[in-house]
Amino acid sequence: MSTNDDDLFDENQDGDAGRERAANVPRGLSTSAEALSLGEAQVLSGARGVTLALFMGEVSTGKSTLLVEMWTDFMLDGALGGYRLAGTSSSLAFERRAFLSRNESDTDEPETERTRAEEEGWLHLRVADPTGGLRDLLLSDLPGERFKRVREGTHMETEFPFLSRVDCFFVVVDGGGFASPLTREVTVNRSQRLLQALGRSESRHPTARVCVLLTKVDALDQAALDLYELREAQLMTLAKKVDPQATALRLAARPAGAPEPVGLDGLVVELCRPPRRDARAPLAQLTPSRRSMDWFTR
Amino acid sequence: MRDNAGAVALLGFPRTGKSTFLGALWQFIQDDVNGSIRESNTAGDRAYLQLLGEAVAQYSTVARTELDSDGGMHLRVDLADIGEVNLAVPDIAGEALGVLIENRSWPNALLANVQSASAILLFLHPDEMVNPGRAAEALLLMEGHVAPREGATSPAVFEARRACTSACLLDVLENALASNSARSIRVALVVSAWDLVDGVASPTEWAMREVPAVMNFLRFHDRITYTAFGVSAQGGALPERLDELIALGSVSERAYAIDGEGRRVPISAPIAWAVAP
Repeated sequence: MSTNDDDLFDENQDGDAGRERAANVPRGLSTSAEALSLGEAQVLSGARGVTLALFMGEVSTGKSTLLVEMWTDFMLDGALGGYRLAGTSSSLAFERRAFLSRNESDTDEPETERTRAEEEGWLHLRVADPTGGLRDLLLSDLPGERFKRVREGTHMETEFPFLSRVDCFFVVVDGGGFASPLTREVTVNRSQRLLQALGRSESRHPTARVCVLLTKVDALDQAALDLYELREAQLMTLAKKVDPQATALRLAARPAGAPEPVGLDGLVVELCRPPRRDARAPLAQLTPSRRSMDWFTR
Repeated sequence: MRDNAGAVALLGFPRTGKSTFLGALWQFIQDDVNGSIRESNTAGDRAYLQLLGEAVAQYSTVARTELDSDGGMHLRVDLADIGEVNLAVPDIAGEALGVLIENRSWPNALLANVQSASAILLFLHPDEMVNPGRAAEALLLMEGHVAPREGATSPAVFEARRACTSACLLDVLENALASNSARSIRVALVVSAWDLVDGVASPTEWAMREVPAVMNFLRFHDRITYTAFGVSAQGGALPERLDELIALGSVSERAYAIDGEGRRVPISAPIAWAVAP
């Protein structure tokens, strides 16, 4: 399975590259045991619109772990945050990522394998909201190295050519890094630079939502939490320049000394939040190829 | 009557009781006393069904179905309250689903069966489930009770067959529904060895507890009409309850099914539901 986003999002090909890549899905199967490329997801996610969520954070910030634990909650309970799992094209891809956190692996230390470039892509979920309405979600699982490059100066558009299609950006703040005074400042700086890069990007859709997401909140003692309150406010100031309705979440996908995650229900609610109504894209931007919802319905 | 009403796909991983169910159903069909289902036409090759039925009747374990088996239940039956139906129920090996999950390809016989089916009976066995339990929870429970292992252990390698049962069944169902072009399809979860299940009032309750994501998939799919059954082809656990089962009598007398609401119904009930108009 190819993971070259540049091929997928050559606007001049008008989706042909994505459809060609979709042919790499095993013939006759509508699901994949690997993460999907966006071209494949376009074919597999069906006619209804789909929400693309980009989790932005460097290596070991907890991006994959929160996906894994969210999936495990869906497997255990069928529902999370009032949303019920109604289907997926990625069940085995999720299971592969979750395996080392399960009893079945006979592990002494639950863990999530680091996302490698050859495994990156999108994971699909279909959920039913409390009224029974169905939504398709595509959740990014990309290596942290890509966000490191952005932090170091690479343009968002260069690293993520699909940027205009993203409906919600989750800027991950590593709670494990913030918990230690030695790494606190660096942790905040890194998230800050990702928010700044997001703010500078020109192809980001004006209605895209932003959420500042603190992971590993269980690692913070009260003093650290108080300090984070201040830093979070600073990060939110940056986030609201991109999305005036930006939100903040705190969670612990795999809290130490506890059997279950904390805060994942809020993540699902945030993923399923209706699109923003406050922003209007300039007319020049309102072409089907730049609106993520239309791309997946045409 | 729906198109292909009698075409039923029995799906399930190995050791989930599909062949045993067919064997018990065949014995039930042959019993003139039952008023639920009978053969309309006794002509035709019944060798495979006789093999299955006799194994169940002799309180034996039904042999595992070979991957290339072409056996099954192909006969015309008369179902009470429904009428005559041409049943086409291939006995597809459980390994076929393993090929789908692990090799990411459709075995030909399985694909043909799924494509033509108007209903799916999806078998699960309570003792063959892979649960998605978190290691963190288990380790916390063991703390202080079990000594930690000494030395490094090799990390376990993921294989699709070690994925949790819910995830595997979701993959199967997503692909089955995509391959079947019928506007509507019936899907029943069939919990085999129901006699082993304790503490739940109905198969629906069991399924909501054990495979809630699968039940939600069925509930929210706009082409699916669904239910759950529990079946006990032998009537009890073997060999532990052999004497008791012998005392109960023939397969017809001891095999039973439980419907979604927990009511006892004939062993033919899942098939009758599957082919109902």
